[in-house]
Amino acid sequence: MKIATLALSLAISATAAFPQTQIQTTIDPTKATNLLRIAVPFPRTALDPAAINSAFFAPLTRDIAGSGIFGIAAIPPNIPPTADLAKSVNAQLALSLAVDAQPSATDPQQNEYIVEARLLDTTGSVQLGKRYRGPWTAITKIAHTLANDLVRTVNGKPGIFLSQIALASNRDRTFEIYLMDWDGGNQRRITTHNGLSILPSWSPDNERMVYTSFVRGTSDMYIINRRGGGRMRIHTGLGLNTSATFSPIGNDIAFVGSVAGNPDIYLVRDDGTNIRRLTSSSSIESTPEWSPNGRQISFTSGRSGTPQIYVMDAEGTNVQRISFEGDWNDDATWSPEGDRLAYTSRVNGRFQIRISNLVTGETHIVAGEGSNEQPTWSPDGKWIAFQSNRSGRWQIYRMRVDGTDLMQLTFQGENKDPDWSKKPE
Amino acid sequence: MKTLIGTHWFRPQIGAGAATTVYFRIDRDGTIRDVRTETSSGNGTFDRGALRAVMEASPLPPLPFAYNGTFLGVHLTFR
Repeated sequence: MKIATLALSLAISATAAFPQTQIQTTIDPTKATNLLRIAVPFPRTALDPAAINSAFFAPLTRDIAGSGIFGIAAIPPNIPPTADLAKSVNAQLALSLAVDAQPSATDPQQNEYIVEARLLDTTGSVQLGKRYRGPWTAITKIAHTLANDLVRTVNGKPGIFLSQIALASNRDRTFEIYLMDWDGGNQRRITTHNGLSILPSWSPDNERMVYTSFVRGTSDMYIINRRGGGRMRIHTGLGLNTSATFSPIGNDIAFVGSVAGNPDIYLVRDDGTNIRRLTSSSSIESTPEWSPNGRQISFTSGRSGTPQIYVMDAEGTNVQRISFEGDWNDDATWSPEGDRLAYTSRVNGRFQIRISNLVTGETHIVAGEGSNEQPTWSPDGKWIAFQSNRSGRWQIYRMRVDGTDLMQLTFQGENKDPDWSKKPE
Repeated sequence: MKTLIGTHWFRPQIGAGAATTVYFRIDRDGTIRDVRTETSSGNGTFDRGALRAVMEASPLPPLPFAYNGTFLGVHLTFR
């Protein structure tokens, strides 16, 4: 037996535990592939291909390409979408899709659409087989749901394709709160104050938002549910009542309140009771954000003479300065793992997104054109949405944390204050 | 072999410290046969990913001529 001469470069720890025709060895994560190549042929369908493409196939392939897990394999035109597809285009997986309609006898608006999806590997075994049903208005949501299921199948946890981004937009005259899908689709208005409403922030369960509105002439905090119902004003008796943000645990809201014109960070229960003051500095304190475990709060303070980022315990103690670069840092927001802060940092007269690693203390700028502000992390920590005036008007963009794959998400009116929902689904 | 299997292995971003052992046979012509989970990691996604990686790596290069067994059994632990 000359195992040592095997051309297969077997790293052998052959021991007495096995007979000579057996070897025992280990493969470590550094050998794993970063991307699974997946072939995604256009669905089999008798329906209008253009409509299926724009409402279903385009968002699905955008999600898959943005998953960070799959790389889409090009399918040459002469390759038939057979069971051997993955192998023939040198991919590890193939997604077989069919879209069908079940016509309603009474009303075409009531037609039900059925998407059949089968994820096959090169051995022909089905990794995921699922059928989705819904009206035409739900077909894009089915695409995002399927993309989430694909990611869950190979990665054990779902993708972020059903997450939502809240924003403030003046596309209908005054600024109101809107929601959109992670790719900018399905934009819809949530509030109808007909008065300036800004700075939405999601609750940890993705069901509610808290925001600031000036509709009564003063600056007030409101809570609203994601469908626009259940609106409630939180009365604090303080001034400002802005930059409100839900605690990830419990039912506290951190916000900026003022007494005699001096803004500080406060907490209030989400029913408006139990107001607590966390900072008591004569300088301006603003933009609180909870750490994902709820134990710390970051905020901006002018106590050093310029606006800088600080972190304190959720009881207001143990204040530490985080940012030291430049003369203006603001809008800090925590990564979902709590190991990084993203914030707005003034560099050469323009605002840029800076990412600070709280473990190593290292920071770097993710550079872009124009001014770039108000970063918010995706629930998986891989993307950042932000507002930029690079087009001449404020719009919301999305990029990977390393600055690649930039995509403009809003186009109508001016759009600001993005806040990404906290849960992936 | 590990490089070839690695190109088919996507390690789920869960279960740090997870480990599953896959047993398989390599025939003289390099064909992989009898792939099975020998020790489960307790996480189905992790186990499936390892199984898929081995199955998709078939066929490997043939076993060397000097090898005089009819097959080689491999106990491969994925970490």
